[in-house]
Amino acid sequence: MTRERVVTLLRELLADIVELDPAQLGLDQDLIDDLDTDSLQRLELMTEVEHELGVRLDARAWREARTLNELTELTLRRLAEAPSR
Amino acid sequence: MTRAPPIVVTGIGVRSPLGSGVDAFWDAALAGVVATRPLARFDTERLSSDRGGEMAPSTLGDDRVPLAVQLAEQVAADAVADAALSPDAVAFERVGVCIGTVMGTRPAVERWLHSDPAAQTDPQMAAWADPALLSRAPARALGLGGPNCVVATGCAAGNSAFAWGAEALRSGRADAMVVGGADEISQAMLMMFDSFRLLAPDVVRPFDAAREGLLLGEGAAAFVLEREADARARGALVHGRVLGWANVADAFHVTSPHPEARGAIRAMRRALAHADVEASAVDHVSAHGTGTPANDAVEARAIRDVLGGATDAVPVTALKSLVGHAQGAASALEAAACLLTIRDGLVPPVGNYATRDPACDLDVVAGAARAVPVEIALSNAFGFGGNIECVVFGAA
Repeated sequence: MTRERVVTLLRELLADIVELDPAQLGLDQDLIDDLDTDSLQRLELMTEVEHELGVRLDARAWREARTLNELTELTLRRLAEAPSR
Repeated sequence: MTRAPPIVVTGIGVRSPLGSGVDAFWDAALAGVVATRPLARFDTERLSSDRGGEMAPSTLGDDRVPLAVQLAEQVAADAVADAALSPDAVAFERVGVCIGTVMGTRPAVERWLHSDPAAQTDPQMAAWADPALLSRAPARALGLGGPNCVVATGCAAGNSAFAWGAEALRSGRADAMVVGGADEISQAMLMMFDSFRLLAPDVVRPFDAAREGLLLGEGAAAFVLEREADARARGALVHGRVLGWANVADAFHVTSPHPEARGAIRAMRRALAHADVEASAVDHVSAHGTGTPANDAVEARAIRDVLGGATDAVPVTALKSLVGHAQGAASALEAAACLLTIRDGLVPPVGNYATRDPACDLDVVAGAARAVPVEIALSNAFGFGGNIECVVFGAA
């Protein structure tokens, strides 16, 4: 899976959750301060990414990430480690 | 200065995964026994952790009676016996019951709804649908005809029962109150914390840098509260005092604590003010200490904010490291530990604590119980989504 596909997926899923257009979501925007997400919304994003990609993500690292870029890195790293189900 | 009559604790009853009976519970807590183990009663196949603090199988009664109801009845009877409360000394129609719970009878109702059709027509089981049974069943079993109430302030419910009972005594609505908390582990709670990714894979590590989450527990504790003058007049043994309490709402988020711990700070300050106790007089804090990344950091900050420079000299423990999170029973079990700490001058250790977290800058009692005189103990209970209740206990 390419980085670009992961970015597109994360953007689309998060856009649905925060009810914005995917194009409005900057990769370096702060998920809390700029995009005003709360912890349940970020967890919802994580479980949706897991369903889409068939991987189990690291919840603690996900909670600590602050931007879509960081979430993309976490997702790519886990995809590289774990064979998809 | 307060003219409100002082409230004392004259009876204690405990049933827990650490042991049943005050002595068994306390010996295990002081030894730092970790009672969280692979769960026997639940299907954990799809959960991220298979562990929790379950009651020993030999302690379970008729499985058609909700475990929380069984436990509430047992600890209420134990507490009344410990207080040597008899109808000769106190009219039982002036003795009330208040029990805190999160799930109440719901776990049994869920089992009933998913059971076979024949069981679903069983009126005995249908009768358990009412959570108020947790206070009504002990009242009926013991003949206690005073004020009766179940409080459901989330995981602060055990502490809320203390407040409700003490206020019933101060207002003169009752002459003695049986208060406490009871809860059982349920598939619904396991699934909820699993979906939040907050179940610890192995053990609960409150305030530890490597903490990953909580495990569920269950059990019950109950106490007999009386106005001090009444207790002394009947020659009762006094275990300790309930000095003050405060209940607040975080008013912030459906699950997360306020990032600046505003609710927790407000509740601790108000409880100390209600107790007429200076922050500098607090000798011990029994933390909510769930072992989740968010709670412990926020709670540590709140404790430091309230106690200030004295924080470094205040030993902190977190019983959930040993029992798991017993939900509505948690702060009741922790109240028992606070009263026994005051009695014995021994603070039980936080189990599984190995690595200091700079974000949790507290004097965490680790490794073994610590001998330290305790006159005043502050017990925190922070319910999910911000039901917060703190209670201040004092020496007899």
